[in-house]
Amino acid sequence: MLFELQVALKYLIPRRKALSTALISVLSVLVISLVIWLVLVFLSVTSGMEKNWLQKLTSLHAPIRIAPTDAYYNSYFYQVDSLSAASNYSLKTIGEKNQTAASDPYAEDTDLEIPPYWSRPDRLPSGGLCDPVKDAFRELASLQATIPGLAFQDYEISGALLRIGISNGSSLSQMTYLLSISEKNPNLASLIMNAPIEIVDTADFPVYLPKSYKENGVNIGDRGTLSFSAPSAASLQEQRIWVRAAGFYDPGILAIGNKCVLVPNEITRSIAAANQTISPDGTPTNGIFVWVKDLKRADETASLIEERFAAAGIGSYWKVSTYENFEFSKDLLAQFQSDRTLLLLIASIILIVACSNIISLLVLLVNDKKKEIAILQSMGASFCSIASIFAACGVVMGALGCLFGSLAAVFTLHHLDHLVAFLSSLQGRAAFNPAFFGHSLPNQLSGEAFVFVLIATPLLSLAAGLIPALKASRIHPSSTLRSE
Amino acid sequence: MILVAKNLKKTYRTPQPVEVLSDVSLSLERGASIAICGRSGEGKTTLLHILGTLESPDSGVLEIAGTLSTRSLAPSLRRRSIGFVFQSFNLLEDFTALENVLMPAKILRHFASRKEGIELLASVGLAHRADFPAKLLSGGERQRVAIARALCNDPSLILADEPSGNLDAANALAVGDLLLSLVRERNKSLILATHDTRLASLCQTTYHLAAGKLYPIA
Repeated sequence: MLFELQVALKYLIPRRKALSTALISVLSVLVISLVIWLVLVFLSVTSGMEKNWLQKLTSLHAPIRIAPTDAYYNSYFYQVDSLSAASNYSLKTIGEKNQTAASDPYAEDTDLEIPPYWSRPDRLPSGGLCDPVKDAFRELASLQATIPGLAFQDYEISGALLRIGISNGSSLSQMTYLLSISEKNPNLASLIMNAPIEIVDTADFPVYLPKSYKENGVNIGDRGTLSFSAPSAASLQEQRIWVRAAGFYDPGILAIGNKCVLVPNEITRSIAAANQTISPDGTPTNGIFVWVKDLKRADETASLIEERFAAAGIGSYWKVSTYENFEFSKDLLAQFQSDRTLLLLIASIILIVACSNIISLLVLLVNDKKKEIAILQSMGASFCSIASIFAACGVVMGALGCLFGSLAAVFTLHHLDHLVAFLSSLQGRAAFNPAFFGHSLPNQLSGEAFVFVLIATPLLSLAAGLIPALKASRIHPSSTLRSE
Repeated sequence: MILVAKNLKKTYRTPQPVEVLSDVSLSLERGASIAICGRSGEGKTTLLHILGTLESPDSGVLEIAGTLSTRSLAPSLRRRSIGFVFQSFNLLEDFTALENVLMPAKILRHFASRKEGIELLASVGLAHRADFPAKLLSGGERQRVAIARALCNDPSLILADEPSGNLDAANALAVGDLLLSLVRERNKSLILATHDTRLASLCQTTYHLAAGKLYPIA
């Protein structure tokens, strides 16, 4: 063992003769342990909560969204369906566009004349019409080969009045937002709160209701209607679509979560063809959802999609955004980010205060060991070696604090539910509101928090050890040996 | 030459200027021994500390084992070429006798086995005390451990400052004889500061330090 470390360890072992030094040494390690424990537990819980919320936010809405731009809606490609008999003179959704065989349904001989103010068709060098939808799906499919776990599907949002009968004979009515079911959503199974059931009556469309409906008495299999108005030649007429509750899902913390019903896309298309829906939370009513396995790679994947779209010449038709920019989540995520920065700042300050205890202990130790330092110098120990002894003392104390604090944090997180139950029993009510914190607090040790304390503590304790180390290295051996 | 000192001068400035050494020159060959006698306060310890590079002279030149002593080279010279024996033993109290003996080797980053340490302790008759904490040893034993420690890195120069000053007569005699016999046996050079005329007489040359100057005693 290096002599510096050997001497440092000798100095750190509490001795009866040096009771005050021993006491301060134990207290310093204890304070650091407490701070590490607090930082780890707090950061782990908040980081776990952030992950849970993020998971909920991106389960229904994918972490990446590709929405059509104004250029798309103003394009000949989009508008031409309204003039084409082949398209039944109605605008098409992205899903419908992807399913049609012909990119350009317009028949010059039979269809109405194209208004002069429309933008010119975006033609390929071959003369065919540029199809930004099929091209987009083709590019996304090619990306699946390079990004494992990538999934995508178009989505549609519309609105209708849901009236559903419940078993006690009454009925429940609510204006709802209808989101097309994304079968390719890898999180769909975890969202649905019950096993999938077969709707035997084929006339009814199966729909998935937010869990609040279940809490209000709706049961699986209950029947109802979705009402919306459709314009006719003379007036607006009410249209009804019969639906049946096929199950319930957890909408998480979406602002419109309790009003959002998952429906087959036949329903959203019927309603969208009849009238326009505006999403209250700013989510585009039609687009493509893209799911990635690792949420941290969402930005990277979004950039890659943009690059591919630009290379394919369809970049101007699409806006690619990630969950960090979604209207319903960006404020929440920004707040989480600020909270985490603030917490790290507070944790660093507390850690600095805890580690500064080491300075006072080591200054005491240097004063106590002046003669020994001079003896070591007489044997040829260099200034660096002497400074290293006390810097090592600081690092060892920091490392011990880190070890004890981490063990205590792991133990606490392992028994977090018991601790919460104890706190709740003390207060006489739930210590943490389940609506905000979930049914149980996250108890996974945060890797980020652990790396933070693992790096910050030894560095801070080393810095704390440097002041006494400099003091020790400046001891003059000759005068010290004489005075002793 | 193991040691060459030329025109060493040292003045302490506080509280009042006191010239402790004025123009001291000294040279020492391998295997030679010098005793420096003088009254208390005449500067024997200062001279030894300067010769041992623990303290810098105000002026003058010091060369040890062919290397000119400078502030930056001083620790290295102490590690390789100098062994100290102090009046008050100066053992590391928290360590055992063996750990004390092997400490200079550790500082030099030279691997010294337990066996080597025990052999050194055996040479001063303390092999049986190897694992004793230094603080539990008697005065005579402590000084013998200090002698063994001074020999650890096989230095060419041993500086002993009143090695028998804190010991009773019997121990003083034994420790003094032991130091001189080991130095001769291992062909080391020795500079000994002492009041003990009997011990001084065992050295090849004796100097008297007075008024900051060294005077040879016939």
